[in-house]
Amino acid sequence: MDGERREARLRSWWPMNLHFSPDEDAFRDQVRTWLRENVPKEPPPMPGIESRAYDVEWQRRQFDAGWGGISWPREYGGCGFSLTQQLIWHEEYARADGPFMGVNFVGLSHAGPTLILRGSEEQKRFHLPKILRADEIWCQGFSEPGAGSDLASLRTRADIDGDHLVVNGQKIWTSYADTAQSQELLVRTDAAAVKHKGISWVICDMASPGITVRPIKSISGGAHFCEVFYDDVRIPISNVVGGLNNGWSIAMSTLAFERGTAFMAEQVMLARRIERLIGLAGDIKAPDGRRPAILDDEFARRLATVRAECAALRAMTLASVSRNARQELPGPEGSMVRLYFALLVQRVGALAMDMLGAPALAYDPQPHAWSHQYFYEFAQTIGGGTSEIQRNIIGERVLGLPKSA
Amino acid sequence: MDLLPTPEQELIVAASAKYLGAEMPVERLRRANGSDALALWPRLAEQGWFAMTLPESVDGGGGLGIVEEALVHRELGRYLAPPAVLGASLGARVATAADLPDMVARIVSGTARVGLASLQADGGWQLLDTAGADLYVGWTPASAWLWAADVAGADGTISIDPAISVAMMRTTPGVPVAQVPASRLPLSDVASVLLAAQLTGIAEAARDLAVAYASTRQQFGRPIGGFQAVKHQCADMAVACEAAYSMVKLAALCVAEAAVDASFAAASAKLVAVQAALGTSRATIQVHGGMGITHDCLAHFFLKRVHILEAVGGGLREQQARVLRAAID
Repeated sequence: MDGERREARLRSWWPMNLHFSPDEDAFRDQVRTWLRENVPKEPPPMPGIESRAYDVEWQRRQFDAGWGGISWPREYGGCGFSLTQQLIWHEEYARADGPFMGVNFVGLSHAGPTLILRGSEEQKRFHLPKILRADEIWCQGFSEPGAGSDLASLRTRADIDGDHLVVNGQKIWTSYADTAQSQELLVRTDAAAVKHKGISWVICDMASPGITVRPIKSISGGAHFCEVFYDDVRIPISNVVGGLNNGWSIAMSTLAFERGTAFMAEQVMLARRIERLIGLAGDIKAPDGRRPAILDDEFARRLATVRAECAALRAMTLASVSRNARQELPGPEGSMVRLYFALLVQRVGALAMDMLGAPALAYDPQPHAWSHQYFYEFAQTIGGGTSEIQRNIIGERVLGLPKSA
Repeated sequence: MDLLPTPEQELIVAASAKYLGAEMPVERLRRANGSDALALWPRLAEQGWFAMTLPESVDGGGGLGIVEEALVHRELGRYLAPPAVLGASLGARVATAADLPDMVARIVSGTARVGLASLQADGGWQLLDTAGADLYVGWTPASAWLWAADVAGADGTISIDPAISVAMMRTTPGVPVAQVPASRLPLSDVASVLLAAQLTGIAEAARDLAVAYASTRQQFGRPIGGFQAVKHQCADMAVACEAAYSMVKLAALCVAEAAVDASFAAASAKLVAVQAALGTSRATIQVHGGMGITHDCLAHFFLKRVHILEAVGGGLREQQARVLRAAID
């Protein structure tokens, strides 16, 4: 940490620049070569049993080659990469058409980092190696039917019974609950406390008796969301992370992580998608049936605009990486990048639908199909904090406006 | 890779911001009559803004780069500085590239004032900041020109922006003084970056005006900024400003390093900054309610300047065409 801090201080005296150091260039070459030779040639299958095997196998191959936890510190088996190295990795990963991490997402990007920050040594030793090797798939049990944006009003109850918690209630929007072995679960352990104070963050074994999982079919046709029901589910108190009733601050550190670095890869993938769309606009006809779509005035203007906006998204990402290299925790500015990305990706989806016209109306279940992406991206302004919540954060914590009623 | 200004760059910016805040508050425009530049001129030359990027061997040359200049132009935008400041900086570049040291000296010292000329679709040129202009600078992606002002027809009339006068010329803006191809001086990219920087400063100033008003104006017993309908408009302004500012820095670095995608980055910066500045200054009028539609409220000065700067060197549609045509890395 001292070394990192020293590096961060030195960096602040470097001139503003777009150059990577010779070491970073060498790192990029190494990453590019490995990814070119190892990224699976076959596209990921539709979500389900096969896709789980595909995701697991790909994560193991990365781990075995030393690319197991890009953002994780070395002492817990991760790569210990700097933010700039992570940026390089994500850029090259997207350039190599690397698949989305799928079922490993919650473990690698949420639960693992949370355990690293707040878990006990025993919890870390037990779970972290399994997450890195994809021996343990995780899911997230935060939202409830009555607790979405107002997450702190969650009502899933955990009563203490000896050295166990007894959990009753319901979670929703739990990705991969049908294949996960472990869950990061928020429960109310003190019903009398004010709402943010009585919550605990616990590790729930998904094989525990009393758990029922019901998949939810989404508008894009996929079904990785689930409802999870808890009926007298017993969880050892030793599975509580960071102490009883401290769950809110622990959950917030996870969400800050999501708003911090998770968008690096998305930004590069979006840029590639826009270039594909521009290429497509040269191949298909405009609505008048005579010219290519790219010569249609409206499509040309919208394509140019999203192309420029995607460049701005990259600039915001670089600025955010520069900023985060100088501070310990990502600040509220991450919400601005998140919101800009979410709205932009939705505009790109809508543009593709308008441009493709009638051919886009035939149902195509492939995840890369334009219509599939169009429907899928509606989740971008909802998951991980709706765009309304992001605007509250920006208004209050970036601009200093008064809190909403 | 680093996209945050260094302490040295922040010092340069702070010096400009201090002068602008003390000597050129936006409130001055309430009494403007089409010749803001004329009123301010003798003192502006002393600030070093006309020759920031010229070598120190030139009298007044700052020896800095376009990155520092863009950061300063963001401040100039914030205070709605006369477009002739940009004219001087661009004109001095053209005169330098054309090896006209006397002309450079006249521009840098403030003796000759440079207005801006923008090519129109019909082949004519729109002149900007015409009051007392001695020279005009104009450019296309392929070439840059400097003209001596042709007295006939270039008098100009007051524009929608009360600080500035404009004129429309059917042919060239004056007597040719110099022409430089883009291969020697990519003036179009430089101009796009500096215009984008000014537009970003305007967007940020408009955002700050809206946030300050929303924090103090009370209705229903509380500041209106506590209502989500207002707060979310301000949040959208903050996001647009962050996008524009980040893109300006990225584009300035690309132009400074003559990167392959410099033209793409410069055109993208202007496009994104125009959108941010239009959206923010319009929404700022709305956040001010009835006050927003008065001449006394500063919001309209920002919006009007955005329309003026958007048109310089090719408007939004022209930027869109360039962005789509551009090669990228």
